[in-house]
Amino acid sequence: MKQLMEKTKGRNAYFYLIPCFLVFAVFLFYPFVKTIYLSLFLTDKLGQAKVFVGLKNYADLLTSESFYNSLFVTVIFVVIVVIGSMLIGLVGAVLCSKAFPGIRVFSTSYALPMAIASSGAAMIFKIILNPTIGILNKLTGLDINWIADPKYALICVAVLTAWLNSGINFLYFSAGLGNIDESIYERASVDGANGIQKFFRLTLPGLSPIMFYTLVVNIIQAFQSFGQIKILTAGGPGEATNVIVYSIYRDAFFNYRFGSAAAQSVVLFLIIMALTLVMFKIEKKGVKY
Amino acid sequence: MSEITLRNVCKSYDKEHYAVKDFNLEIHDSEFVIFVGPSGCGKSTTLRMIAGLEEITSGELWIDKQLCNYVEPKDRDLSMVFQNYALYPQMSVYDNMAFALQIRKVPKKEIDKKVHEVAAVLGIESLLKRRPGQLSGGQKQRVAIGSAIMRQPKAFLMDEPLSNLDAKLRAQMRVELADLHKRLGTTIIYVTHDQTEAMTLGTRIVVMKDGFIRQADAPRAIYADPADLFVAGFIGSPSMNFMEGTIQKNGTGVDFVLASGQKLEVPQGKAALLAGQYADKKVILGVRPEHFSETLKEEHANLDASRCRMTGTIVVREMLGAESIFYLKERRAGEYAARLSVDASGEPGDEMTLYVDMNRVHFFDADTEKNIFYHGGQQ
Repeated sequence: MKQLMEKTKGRNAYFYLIPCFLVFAVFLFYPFVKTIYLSLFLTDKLGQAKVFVGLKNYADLLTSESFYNSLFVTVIFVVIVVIGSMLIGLVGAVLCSKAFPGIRVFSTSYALPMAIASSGAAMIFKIILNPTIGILNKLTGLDINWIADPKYALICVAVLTAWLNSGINFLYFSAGLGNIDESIYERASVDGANGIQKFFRLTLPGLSPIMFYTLVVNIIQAFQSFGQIKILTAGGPGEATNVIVYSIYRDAFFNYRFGSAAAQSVVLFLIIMALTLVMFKIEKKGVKY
Repeated sequence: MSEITLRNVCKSYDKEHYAVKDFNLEIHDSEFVIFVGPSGCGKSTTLRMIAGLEEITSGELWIDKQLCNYVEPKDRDLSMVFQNYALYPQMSVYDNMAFALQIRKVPKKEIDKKVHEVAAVLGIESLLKRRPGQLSGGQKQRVAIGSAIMRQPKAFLMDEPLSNLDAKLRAQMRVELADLHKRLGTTIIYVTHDQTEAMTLGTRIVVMKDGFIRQADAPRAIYADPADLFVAGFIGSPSMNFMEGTIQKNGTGVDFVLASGQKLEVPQGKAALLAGQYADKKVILGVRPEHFSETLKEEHANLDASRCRMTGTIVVREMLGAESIFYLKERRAGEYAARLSVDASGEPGDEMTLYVDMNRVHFFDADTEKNIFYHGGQQ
C-alpha cells in the first residue's frame, strides 16, 4: 500500500484536474476541434460535414469582398468600443475616487451597465434612437435615422457597446486607483504638482498594470460582441454593421454555410490570439511598476 | 530664509474633540525644531497643517509674513519627507528626485546636474536607475531626503523619517541629518516620537501631549528644567524617577519625607519656597537616574549623610557597557532606577544604599503636576 502511495505521489495532482478538464473538453476543446474540422468541409443544412474541400473555404473568404468589409467594420467597431469603454470607465473611476456625499449612488450607476443584458439595452436604445418617437432626435432637434443610416449605424452600436462594457472597466479602474498609495499624492502636492500633473505623472502610470489587463479583456470582448448588434441593426443597413461575429451567425444560421462560418471563426480566433500575444510581448517591455 | 508662525492653531475633526489645540509657536530661520510626544499627541497633524495637507480648523499659519491657511500645498514652497517615504513607485530614483524640478519646468541639464550633486552627497549615485521597489529601507530613506533637498524650499518638513529603520542605521542617519542641517542651513521641522532623536537633532524641542504644547525649549533646557511631570518623564532614558512625599519643617532646615519615612534634606535655595507654600503638603520628587551615587559626593560632604540617601532592594541590574542601570525597589516608596558606574557592586536581591544629589532634583506640585521651580527658559 505504502509503495503504491509512493508510486502515485507525483501523479496524484492529475486526478484532481480531471473534472476541470472534462468540462473544458466538452465545452471548449470539442467545439474548437469540431470548428476547425468543419471549416475544411462543405456542409448540409443541418451542419453535417459532407464534402471535404480542404482550404477552399479559407480561399473563398480571402477573395470575398464581404469578408474584407466585415474585417474593416470589426476593426472600426473594436477601436470605438475599446477607447470609448475605457475612457468612460476611467473618467468614472477617477471622479468617484474622491469621497463626497452621494458617492455610492454615482459608483453604482457607473458600474451598472455591467449588470444590464446587452439585448435589453439594445431594445431600449432602439427606442431612444427611433427617428420619429426617439428621445435623442427630440432632444437634439436633429432628424437622423440613426439605425437605418449606414453612416451612423456602426457608431450607434459601438457607442452602446462601449457604454455596456464600461461598467466592468469602472470596477477595474476603481480597484486600481484604490491600490495607489494616497501619500504619493500628498508628496506630489507638497512638491508643487497640480491636478493635471498628478493625473498624468502618478495616476495613469499607477494604473498601467490594470490598464493593460483591461485593454486585453476589452479588445477580446469587443471582438465578440453579438447581442446588441443582432437586436439593434442585425448587421445592417446593408453590411454596415456586419462584424465578423455577426457574419459568422449569418452564414451559419441564415445561409446554412457552416463550413464558411467555421472558417471565419478560425480566422477570428487567429486574429484575437495574435493580438493578445503581441500585447503580452509589448507588456513585458512597456508596462513597468 | 523663512519664518513660520503658528497662532492659536486648532485642529478638530468633529468640532468636539481637538487633535491640536491652541498651538502657538514661532519658528525662526534655520532652526531645527522637533515635535515630540507620544502617539496621538497631534504632532503629525500639526506638521500636516503646516504642509497644507490638513485643513486648519481655527488659528493662523504665517509663512514668511504671509497668511497661509488657505494657500494650496503646492504654492507653499515647502518640502516634505514622509514616514513611509512616499516614493513614486513607477519612477526611477532619478525621476523621483527630479520630479519637483521637472514639474517646475527647470531645464533638463540643470536638473541632471542637481540630481547628481544631491545623489553624491547622500551616496546614492549607483541607485539612480533603480526603482523604489528595488531599494532597502535605508536607501529609500536617502532617496526621500534627496528628493526633498533638490529644491531650496522655505522649510523642510519631516514626519518620522527614521522610524522604519533599524537601530544602527537610525543612529547613522541621525548624524547625517544633523550634518545636512548644518550644511543647508534651512529651517527643518521634524516630527518624532523618539526622544533620543529629539535630543540629538533639535535646536529646539516642542514636547506635545493631547494636542497641547507642554514645553518648547532647547534640548538641554528641557532636560534640566522640565516644565511639568509629563515632560520630565518623557525626556530621558531611563525616565526620571518620581516619588511622592510631604514637605516637613525640621528645625532650621526643610525635609522631603518619603512614604517610607526616609527624610531627604531640601537644599537651601529651594527650602524657603517649599516651606512657605507646601509645608505638610504632598509634592512629587523627581530624580534622574544619573543623580544617584554610591558614595556621598565631596561637594555635599557638609550635608548630613543620613538625610540624602535612600535604600532599596535590587530587582534588576542592566549592564549597558559603560554603565549599569540598577532597578531598585523600596517597600513603600516604590521602584526607581539608578544609573551607576559599571563597577558598582550589587546583585539582584541585595540591599543597596544610594545617595541622592539633592541639588539637582525636581519638585512637582502633586495637583497641577507643574514643576514648582520651573524657570521657563530664563536660566
